[in-house]
Amino acid sequence: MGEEHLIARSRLTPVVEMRNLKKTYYLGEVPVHALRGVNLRLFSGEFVAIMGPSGSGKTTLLNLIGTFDKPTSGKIYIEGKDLTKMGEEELTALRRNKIGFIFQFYNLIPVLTAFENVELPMLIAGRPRGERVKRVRELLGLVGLSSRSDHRPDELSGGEQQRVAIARALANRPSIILADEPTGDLDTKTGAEVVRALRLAAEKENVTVVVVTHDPVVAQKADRILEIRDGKIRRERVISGKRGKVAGR
Amino acid sequence: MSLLKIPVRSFPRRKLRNFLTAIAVALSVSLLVGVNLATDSASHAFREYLDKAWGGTDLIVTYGAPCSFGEDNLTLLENLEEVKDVAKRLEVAAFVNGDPAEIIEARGVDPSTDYVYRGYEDTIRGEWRIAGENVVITEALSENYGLEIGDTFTVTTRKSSLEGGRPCTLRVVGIYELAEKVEFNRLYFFVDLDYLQHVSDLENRITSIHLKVGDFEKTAEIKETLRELFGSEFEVYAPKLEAVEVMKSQTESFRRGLDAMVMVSLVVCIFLVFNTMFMSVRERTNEIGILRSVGSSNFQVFTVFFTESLLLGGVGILMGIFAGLILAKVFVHVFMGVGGFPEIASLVLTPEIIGKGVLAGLLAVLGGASYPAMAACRVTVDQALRPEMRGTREGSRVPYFLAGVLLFVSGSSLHLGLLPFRLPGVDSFALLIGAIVVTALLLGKGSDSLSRKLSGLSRSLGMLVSRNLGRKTLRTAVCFGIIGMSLSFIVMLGGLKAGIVEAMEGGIEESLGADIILISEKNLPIGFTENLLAVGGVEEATPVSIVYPGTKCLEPESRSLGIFVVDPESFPAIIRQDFVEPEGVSPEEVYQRLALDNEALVIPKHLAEELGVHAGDSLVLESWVEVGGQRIPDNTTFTVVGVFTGAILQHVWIGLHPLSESAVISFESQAEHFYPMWGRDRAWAFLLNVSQGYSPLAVLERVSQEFPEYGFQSNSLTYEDMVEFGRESIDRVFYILFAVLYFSVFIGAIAVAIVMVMNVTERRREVGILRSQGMSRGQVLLMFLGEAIAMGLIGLVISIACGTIILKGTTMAMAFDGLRVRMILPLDAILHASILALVAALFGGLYPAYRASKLTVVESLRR
Ligand SMILES: Nc1ncnc2c1ncn2[C@@H]1O[C@H](COP(=O)(O)OP(=O)(O)OP(=O)(O)O)[C@@H](O)[C@H]1O
Ligand SMILES: [Mg+2]
Repeated sequence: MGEEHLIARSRLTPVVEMRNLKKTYYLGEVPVHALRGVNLRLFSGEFVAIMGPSGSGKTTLLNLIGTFDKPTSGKIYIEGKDLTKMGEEELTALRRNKIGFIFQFYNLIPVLTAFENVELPMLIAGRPRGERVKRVRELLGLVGLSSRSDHRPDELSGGEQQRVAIARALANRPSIILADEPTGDLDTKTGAEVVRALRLAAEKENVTVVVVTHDPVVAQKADRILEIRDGKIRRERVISGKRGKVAGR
Repeated sequence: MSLLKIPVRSFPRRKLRNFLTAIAVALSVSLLVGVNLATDSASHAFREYLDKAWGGTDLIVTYGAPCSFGEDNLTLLENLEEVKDVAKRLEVAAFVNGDPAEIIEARGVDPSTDYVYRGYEDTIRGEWRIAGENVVITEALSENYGLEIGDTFTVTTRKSSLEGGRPCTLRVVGIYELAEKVEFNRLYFFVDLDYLQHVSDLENRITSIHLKVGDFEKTAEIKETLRELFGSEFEVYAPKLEAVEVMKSQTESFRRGLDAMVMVSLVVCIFLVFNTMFMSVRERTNEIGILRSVGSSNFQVFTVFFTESLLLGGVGILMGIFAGLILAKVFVHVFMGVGGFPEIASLVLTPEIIGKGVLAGLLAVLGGASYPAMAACRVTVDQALRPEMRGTREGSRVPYFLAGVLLFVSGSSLHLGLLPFRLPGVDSFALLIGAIVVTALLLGKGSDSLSRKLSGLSRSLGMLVSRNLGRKTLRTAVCFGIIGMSLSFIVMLGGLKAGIVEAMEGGIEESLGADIILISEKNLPIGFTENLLAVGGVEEATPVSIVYPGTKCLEPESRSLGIFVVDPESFPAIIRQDFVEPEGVSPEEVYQRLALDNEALVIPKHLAEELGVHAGDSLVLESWVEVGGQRIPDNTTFTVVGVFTGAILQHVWIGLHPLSESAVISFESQAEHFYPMWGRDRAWAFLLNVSQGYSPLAVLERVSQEFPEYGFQSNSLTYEDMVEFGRESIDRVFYILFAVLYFSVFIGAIAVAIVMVMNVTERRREVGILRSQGMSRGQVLLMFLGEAIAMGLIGLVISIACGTIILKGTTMAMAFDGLRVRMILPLDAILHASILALVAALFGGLYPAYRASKLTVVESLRR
């Protein structure tokens, strides 16, 4: 099974590829080595969990993939394109079209309804109205919130808010969704529901998902678990029985 | 430990916001200080100017007109303690070489006692001691006739002129250099009083007494005393006092306008301080909870916040007073730069002005901060430390809405005079605040529907901008409120200016009547009219003159009177007057009577009312009669044959009488009954109308080229000249008023900046999310800028609505020089306001929006 998986992987082009990625912050004169050389490939349709202690570099890694930050050295490719060589405009377009984000808390724009929050990325991308409405309906249905579309964030529960965020992250049909502790503010049960919704939606849309989490229950839902410590990937676990299902489709 | 450490240390924490608020306080303080300083020093300069013009003389006693009276009247002054100095004068006309066209003035003074003359010693070149035929002439006289020290010249004084003259030859011993060009008539000479009395057969007679009082403030009082002492035949003038009063009344509405605009900036400033302090209280609710939980009292909490605003005020006031000094210099420069005023040497910051500035600053700060500080006291520990207990006590907004509507409606009706009483000043602010409250509440409710309208530019931006506007209603309302308030007055002033200019033009047209008033340096025979009619472009011309410097009316009332002399044939063709008495009479009929009857006159309605006479009544005037080749004083009874209205020639004054308040007689009548000072049938000016298609200026040019020797060009007036002059003075006044308002608009821009900085800080995380969705930096910039611009535009809408109402009310309550000011829809003022709204919004919004766009995603997403 493991063997087959490796072969399946190498046949695909990676959605994201990192080569010897390093990131160093400076607190005044003192360097903080957040990432110390990460090599990683993420494949289409994969659901990857990243775990690790606080301060190990998880968010830093996600921010680099998300194009919010530039690496100190090393390379990142998204769909074969070198991020480090892109200008601000290209990066913005990439964020708009290829990447979806889900944050831990305060994820939604408070003045907009659930519907409008999901619609927002498509508005920014300038999609026509008919397409937007159809897509928002579809996505809210997918995360099971069709009935709440006119509610504002402060009228939704934490779990519902995160499901709206999932729908929003999917709006522009990205190839990758980055989620930084999406269940961090939720209780275990709700957290599990949200991850299930994310997994389901990602499978349906065939999107690669990277979830940073401290919760082993959440991590168990992934295809692969990467463990980061001190800015390096120390361990990689493949959860059996899941990958095959995805790859088989 | 003192609790005061908290405000003192908190103050510099929100640097930008507190700094901006302090600047706003400084702006309004500096306005108040600047305006007061400028007007104070202007009136000071005006007093100095008057002192130069009149020397030490505060009061002048004359026997009316050119009449002389006995020197013995001086004894009346003997027991008056308040009078410091007395000088007696004999002023008579003198004709150079006996030529009636070359009239100058002889001033008989007693060089040993005349305090006015003694005051000139330093400015007299040569010898100041005069005696006998040794005289001191003015520099103007010296230039005009080429006279130098040691030269002699011949004059005949008034009395001898008629009799063919016993000319006397005078020797120049000194030349008097007028320091300032402040005298109307500069062609005169000082001659020994006794000598002049002797050569003009006026032994022991004088024409005026000049008095200097100990205390200028008592002038009015002493004037009354003198009136009683001398009796009603004598006239007492207080030239300086009267000038000060005229100045006061002329600048009164300007000062009131200035005060109102300074007031606007103060109110605007109160709004801003309120906003800043309110935000500060909101942000620091946790801090208040902690203060509470350690047992501090309401008063202590209040003190903490109040002290912070006092610090803010203190900084603002200090900056404001210094800025005020600079501002005053600018004001003085703009306003006084033209118009014969001497440069104002120094601006003196009196304790009173500083006090006013401090008071205004405190008012702004205390007015703005007291409610937020009180709100801070009301925060409970629970609310402070448990955020979920705060917030959404969403009470009904209906009462606020109704209160807003009520304020707006009552303010408007008060201002428009629909209610039986008025509350000037309060009414316009009431209607403005009402409009702001209503708009804010509507905005809170209607921001969703607004989003569709705003989304023209970009759907996502439009939606976000409009929603965010509805979000922090209070601070948004403060912003557009401040802008709306200031711009309302821009709209109002713009409309008012247009109305006043129109009224002024109409007034001048009516008062001038003729296209050109041609004034010659020398008086000309009335037959000169024919020469003028021969010049191309001159359609009509009529000679006019005056009885100089007026005469005395004895009945029905003893007073002096100006007399305007016209040619009854040609005058009514040029000047259109409306005769109200006798009823239904045409000007031609009235002037026909004037032509036939040398004891007939017409008077303006204003004067008729003052004298209490009607058409058909008679006036007894002092006149002259020729007996055996000699002229002697006499009284003549004149009949009023017409009373006319209109402000005819009100801008032209002779001596002490504006032409619009003078009686009108014919040249024939003047020749028969009055002393022809300038000879028989001589005109002082000509009124001209130009032919169709000719410009008065061009015709004036042509006339003066044709007759260069009379100096027409520099003395004459045309309609264009006067309109130009009027426009310039109106412009200057309004420049200042607009400049003052710009301060309020600037404060509005500061308010926008403060609110936008707050919004950016608070919504940092949102910016991160939006950017992660693929929003570009440019779009973030546009989003915040859009918010600022939307606030500016809402302010603009308020200002157009309220400004028009305020304009309507103001024009209704106002008249310019007796003429009604029409309300003109101020289209260009609205354009002006629109530009200012955009500029204020951009100015206030650009930096915060730029800061928001520069936030990196990582920064804005971090906790
Ligand atoms: N902007 C920054 N400036 C300086 N140091 C930073 C910055 N961002 C992150 N770091 C440091 O880099 C290291 C990695 O941080 P990172 O946020 O990636 O950790 P993490 O794994 O996400 O931790 P957590 O589980 O607490 O979210 C930490 O030591 C952190 O202090
Ligand atoms: Mg993290």
